[in-house]
Amino acid sequence: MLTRARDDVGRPALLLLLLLALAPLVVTGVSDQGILVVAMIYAVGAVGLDVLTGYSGQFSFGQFVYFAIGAYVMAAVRVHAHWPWVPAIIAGVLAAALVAAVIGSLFVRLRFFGSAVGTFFLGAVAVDLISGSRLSHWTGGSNGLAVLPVTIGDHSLSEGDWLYYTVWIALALSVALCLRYTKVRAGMAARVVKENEVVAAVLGVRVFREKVRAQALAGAVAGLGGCMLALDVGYLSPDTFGISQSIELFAIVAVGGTGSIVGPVLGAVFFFSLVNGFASTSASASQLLFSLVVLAVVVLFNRGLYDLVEQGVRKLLALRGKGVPVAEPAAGPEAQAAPAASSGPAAVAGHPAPAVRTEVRPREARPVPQGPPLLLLEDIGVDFGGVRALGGVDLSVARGEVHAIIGPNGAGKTTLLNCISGIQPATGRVVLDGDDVTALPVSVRRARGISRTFQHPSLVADLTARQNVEVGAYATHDGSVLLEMAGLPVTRKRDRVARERALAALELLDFPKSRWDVHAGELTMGEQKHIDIARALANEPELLLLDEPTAGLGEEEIGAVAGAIEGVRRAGVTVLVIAHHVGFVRRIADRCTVLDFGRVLTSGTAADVLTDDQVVDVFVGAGGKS
Amino acid sequence: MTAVSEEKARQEQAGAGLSIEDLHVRFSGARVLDGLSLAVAPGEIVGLAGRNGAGKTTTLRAISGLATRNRGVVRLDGTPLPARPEAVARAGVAHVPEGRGIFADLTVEENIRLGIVRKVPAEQTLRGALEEAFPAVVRLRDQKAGRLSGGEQQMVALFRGLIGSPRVLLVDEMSLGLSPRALRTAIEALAALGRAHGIGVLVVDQNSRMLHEHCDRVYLLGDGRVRLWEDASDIASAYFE
Amino acid sequence: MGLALSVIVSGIAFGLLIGMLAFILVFLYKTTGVANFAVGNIGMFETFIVYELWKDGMGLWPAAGIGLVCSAVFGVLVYQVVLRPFGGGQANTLVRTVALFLLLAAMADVFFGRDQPYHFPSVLPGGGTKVGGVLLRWSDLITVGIVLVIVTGFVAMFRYTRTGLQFLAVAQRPETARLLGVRAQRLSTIAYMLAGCLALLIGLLLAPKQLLFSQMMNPILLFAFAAAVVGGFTSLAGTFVGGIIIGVATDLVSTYWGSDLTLASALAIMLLTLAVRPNGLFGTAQVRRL
Repeated sequence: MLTRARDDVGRPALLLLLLLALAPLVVTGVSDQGILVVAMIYAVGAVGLDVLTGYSGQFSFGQFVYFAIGAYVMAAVRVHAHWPWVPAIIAGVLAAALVAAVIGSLFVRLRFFGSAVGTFFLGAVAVDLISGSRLSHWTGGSNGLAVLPVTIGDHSLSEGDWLYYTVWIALALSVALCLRYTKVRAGMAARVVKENEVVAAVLGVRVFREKVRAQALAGAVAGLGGCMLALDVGYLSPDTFGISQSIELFAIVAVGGTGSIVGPVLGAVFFFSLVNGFASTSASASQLLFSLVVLAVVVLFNRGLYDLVEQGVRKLLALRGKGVPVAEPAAGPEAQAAPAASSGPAAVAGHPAPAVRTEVRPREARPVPQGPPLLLLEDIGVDFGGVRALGGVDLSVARGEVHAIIGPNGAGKTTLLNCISGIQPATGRVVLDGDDVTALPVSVRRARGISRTFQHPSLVADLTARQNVEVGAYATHDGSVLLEMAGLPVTRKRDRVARERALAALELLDFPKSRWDVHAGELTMGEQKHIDIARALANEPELLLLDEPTAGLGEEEIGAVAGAIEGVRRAGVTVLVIAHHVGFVRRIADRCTVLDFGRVLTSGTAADVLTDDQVVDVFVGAGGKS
Repeated sequence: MTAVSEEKARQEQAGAGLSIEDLHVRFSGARVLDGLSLAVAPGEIVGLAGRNGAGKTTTLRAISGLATRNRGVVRLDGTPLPARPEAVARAGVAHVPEGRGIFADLTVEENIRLGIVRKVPAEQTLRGALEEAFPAVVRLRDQKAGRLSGGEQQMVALFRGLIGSPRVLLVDEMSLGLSPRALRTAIEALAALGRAHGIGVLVVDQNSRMLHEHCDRVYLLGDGRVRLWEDASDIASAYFE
Repeated sequence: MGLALSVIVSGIAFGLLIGMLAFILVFLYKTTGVANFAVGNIGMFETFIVYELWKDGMGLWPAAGIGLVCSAVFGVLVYQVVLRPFGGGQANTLVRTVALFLLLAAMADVFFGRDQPYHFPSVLPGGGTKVGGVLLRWSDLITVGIVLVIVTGFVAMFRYTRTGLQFLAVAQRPETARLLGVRAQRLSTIAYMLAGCLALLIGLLLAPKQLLFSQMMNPILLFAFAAAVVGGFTSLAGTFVGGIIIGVATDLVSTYWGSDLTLASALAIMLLTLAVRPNGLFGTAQVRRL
């Protein structure tokens, strides 16, 4: 249920906001409008919570803490410091964002469960603190705090159409901010973090910072929601901001559908209208209905309402437009969520596999490149709790060569790549192009020209093939997220460079153009491996590390990967590749190193190594010989 | 086909033991097994070899139901095996998984007791025969299993796999952590116990020479299918294509 | 000094209750893979059932007996109706338990009237005895006794019964346990049956002290989470140690600094423990794969 992080929800979002703007024409009753107002206020914060869970993979069961901060700060600075209401709202939003960033950075280290419990706790603690005597000078303690009236001219923003449209503007702002965030560098990076933190780090993403930035954004819009809530209720009391409300907010996001921005808005409107429509008799009866429906939705349609609507629209379009391709642009974003199970294989059959070269020909004899090595490993050692994973590996990779590492399971091949890319601390020295990089962190090694792929590609399923490569093309993730969201010329230029580098990488690998704009979740395993290589290449590395690019592929796809690596080599990039498939190694490798039990067994030209008796023993097994 | 394997083939048609027909397994679109068929008759020890990533472990997991079988049938004594692992175990298939699956916080004896899958009277278990075959395990009975060496753990895992007298025993990565001598002892014991009690044994290992030496026959796994290993050239093609 | 010692003693008794709730959380987490946010409210709801029976004129003990049977059935229903169908991922199941948490609170409000909180008759005798100037309340001593009996029962189950052994197996290696024929769903059902009964027991011991109302379990649920985290979320024994630490610390804080800081102090202890020992006092590191 947390797997989606949709990319194309702009038009549905616009449509829903438009409908909400027009709703007062139809919904004229005062109490009915009031229900929509409350729904929109929850939605303001729910959208931010969706950014947190759906797009950055974090949890919060205590988001009403930030509603409280927004509301109380806004009300308090007006009462105690006599601020005008506009700066008061800004202060409320900023305070919420700041506290969210601080608390977020405390909780970032906790994983899934820890953050759920931690934030839940926080919600309860906040209520205690607000109602307690310690802060009562500012918050009014359990007596509460009156919100001074907010007016424009003669109109009060706390009632009628003025209230409705003020809240609507806040919601539109929140949706726009969050949508924009998902499109810029920071949002893209957060989605990779959600997919796999280690992969993100290797792509130069600063994982901790991206998580905190998502927290701050979610906190900010929750603070804005809090200010709106203050306008609506007119009087703040601690139990408006309890853990039940936080949990309801999370439930609304889950029910609306995470990773869709629109879903949570849908969820909030759906709930408040349903609950109040059927159970206007008592508060606890409506609570009962609310929790029953939440439970029913998360048990029966665990992907949420947005997914349901999406599927429905897609089916309708398919019915109406028989013969017309479903993925026609007019079909809109709803068409994007083709279930991989049904349309995946068919789509694959329709497109040629990338650069298929089936004939396996032996590697033509080629002189082993001379000159100073690009990469030099000296006595690399790694211990895993007393188990020697690598016991003093020496390795030299010449500039421009394709160097293969082979060896049985558990020989330490992946660990060796981890040492080179900087994920795995090790003893010994790693020298790149004459410079000792042993002490340098992952991101600096990346900047120095070391890129890598993983056994499992870890692409962001809801981004297209091309977008996934673009993420790899970002030279840096520095810079302010606010400036990024403003879309200044500097940012645009930076992004254009990234796009060009991504195109170059895709073209270098001969990846078929027809598949560039397909979501990564719908690519075949072979195509995903290509995109993973392209993503690593897009950073224009000197040295490309490939971890089992052929694992899980069929013969044809292995041929395609071999073709791609040959292209990379022609482009002058040095390649260090782990492989099991000996035919593949024969075809692509200039030299070959065999690892066994964490040590180098032998090293030499591929042809020599693969006929070595010792090597044959390692692969075929000599244990039974006696 | 050799005479021996023809004899086995006849037994398979009679339906005794484990038989796999046209097994397909896919992981996220990639075909891991693509029409694999093989059989293990009661009392027979069969090897399954292949390079890394060829799908050996997946084959065993598909038999046990840990991996979803996309197509094909797995039968035990002529009856199709159910999909869920616990039901497969109750039907009489014991599986020593990759990494041995030892419960480190439990004692050796507790580990072994967990191997008695169906409630049977003590005298119907193979405890006596196993204690003769693996005397070291008896000595370690009250130790926490996590403190044992890799080789000792492998003994415990085999002991646990056989104690409930299953119809078929699946062993993944047989040689892992065993010295050549311990490996020889263990696999000989396995073969003897299997023959004596009519248990079919399917052993997976990278070390195909070892399998060739000790097993009644060896299948080579490549491209998601198997073929019988007949001579040395087969092995070269399985590993060095 | 006498006051501090008395506070510590009652803190230990309360801590053992916290520990018992934490034990249920961890036990369910280890056998079913989900930490259940609704556990506290399950106990609250069951306590209400006992209260209603008692109010209708039934003796307290028979009412508690019937409540225990209801709890077992209730536990099974929770697992079979709410958690098992259409198994979603970890996050989905977590949200299910949270929805159940809300549902039970709302149900208690709707079905059991709006005059909450109610005074609940004490199962345990009042008064106490003084030992060396320190007041020991009978209720605290009996609570300690009850928890010890239950712990002994569980230890005996894990050590001497086949089902107990299977629980441990599923908790350590769910996949291997299935290969050994362990029917995990059956075990999960049993786990929820036991959890339902223990939750009722906690409710019965807690309600006389702090009144009966739909939100009564919220603080102790939070304390139990803190205790579980402090003890290391994978260690069953650690939960009781964590419970005592949290119980004593929060009792002291609320006596000397004010009750609005009790939750905050529990949160602080939890975060501090995580900062110093990321896997808690007794937890083991969980290996993450790339």
